[in-house]
Amino acid sequence: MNLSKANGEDGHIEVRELVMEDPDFESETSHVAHALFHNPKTSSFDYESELYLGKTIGNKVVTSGVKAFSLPAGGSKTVDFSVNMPQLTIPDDSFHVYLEIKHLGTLLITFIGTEDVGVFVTPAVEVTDITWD
Amino acid sequence: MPQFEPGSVHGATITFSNPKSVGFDFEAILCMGDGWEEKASASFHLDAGQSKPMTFQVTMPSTEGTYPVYIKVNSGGFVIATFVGTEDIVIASAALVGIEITGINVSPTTLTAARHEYETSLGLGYWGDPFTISITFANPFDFDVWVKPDYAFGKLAGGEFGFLEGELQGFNAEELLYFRLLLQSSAIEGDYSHATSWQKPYDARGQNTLSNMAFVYDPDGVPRAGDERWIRIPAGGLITNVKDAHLSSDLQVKALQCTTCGEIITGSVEEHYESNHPGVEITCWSWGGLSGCYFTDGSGEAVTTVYVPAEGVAGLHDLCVVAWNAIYFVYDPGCGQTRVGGQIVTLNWRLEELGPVAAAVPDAINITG
Repeated sequence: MNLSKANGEDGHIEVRELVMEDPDFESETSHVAHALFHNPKTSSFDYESELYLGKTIGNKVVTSGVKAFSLPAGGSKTVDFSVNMPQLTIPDDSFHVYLEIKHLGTLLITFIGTEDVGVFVTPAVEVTDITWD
Repeated sequence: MPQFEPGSVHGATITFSNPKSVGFDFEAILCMGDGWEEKASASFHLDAGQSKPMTFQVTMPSTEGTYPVYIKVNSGGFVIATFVGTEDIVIASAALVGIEITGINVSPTTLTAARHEYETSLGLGYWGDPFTISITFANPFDFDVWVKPDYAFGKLAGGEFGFLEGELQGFNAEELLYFRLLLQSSAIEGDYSHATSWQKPYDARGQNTLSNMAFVYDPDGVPRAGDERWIRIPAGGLITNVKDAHLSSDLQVKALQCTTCGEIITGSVEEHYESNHPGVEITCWSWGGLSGCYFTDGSGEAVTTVYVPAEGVAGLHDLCVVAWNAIYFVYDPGCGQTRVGGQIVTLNWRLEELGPVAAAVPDAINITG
């Protein structure tokens, strides 16, 4: 999935790749996205990053939680983000994908996926045993 | 498992639940049989988390047999689930019950536990006291019915008497009757007599065929019901089966009788004499499996061996007669084939079964020593 900047400043960290499955998912199922981060600076840094689905920036409908990691100067690393798809009250919906990156609690940059994630609910039914009259 | 009449209509109630967070429309189809024949369907909506009981009016199959039940659920034009009922449905016609046992008579009513000797071509045999039993059946139907009765002496249990779901209730049969199977062939021969509880009013293999039991032929004259003999009860009529029978030859056990006082000694002979005949000296011996006691003064035997009724034999016994099976013919042209005399014959009469019936006579016989 390709990303573009939603807010923040470029140059602090790069996301070279965000890999995830087919962007249409069953509600309340868990899926993992893999992000390849790169530190373009000449010093190593600690980062906190969070991937969430939402309608607008900061609207965290479901989130992976904050993942902390370090990157040496010029280093790269893949970080996994596990997200449980939201429970819906309508048969299907779509959400933006946001990837937020902070350093010592200060927001560096937020990326947004160039395509949305679709979430749907498939019908299911449970039955009791049969009672005959 | 539930049992229904062919073609009858019954309601099947199933509660459907929607475990999802979104409401959906569903269509449920109830199917029966291995071919998943669709018998009834219902369309309904379930909100998120909602449960709803639905009743399907199902017309049962017209053919007797056992049918699994399946539920197929569609939503949005797709099959989303199938379920199998935990119980199959049995389709069967309820057997008619109507043959009656209207009379049972035993003569004489006082019998002994004695053992009688008889000669066969294969050697000596033994049987118990003879008696005659007569059983009268009534047929209220407008078709002939064949029955194959059994009778037994025993004890009425005191509770509900009769058949419950095909099982006889309320009577405990005792092994008081005599069964004789005399085999005399090039392959096997012997007199296989033994005691039995239930007995038919005829002997095995048609021996001693003085009863009015005979092989069964359908109205076309085709032999049916195998090589068993049955009693034919004419439509709307009565039939009385009279049969000579015997008690078992094994109703007695050996016992020692005191030659001095005549008492049956159940314990030690020496202790009996010490307690009851002080001063009379006896000597008991045992050798090679034999034993005895004699008076020490040489005046004779102190005990003699006699036969007495085994435990539970002496006294009053109830009599039970049952017709486990009762069969009749229904006209059904071309319903089957059979082989008669090496030729294939088309059957035009279908055999049907009636429900079993039973009757009992309390205190029917008294067995004395």
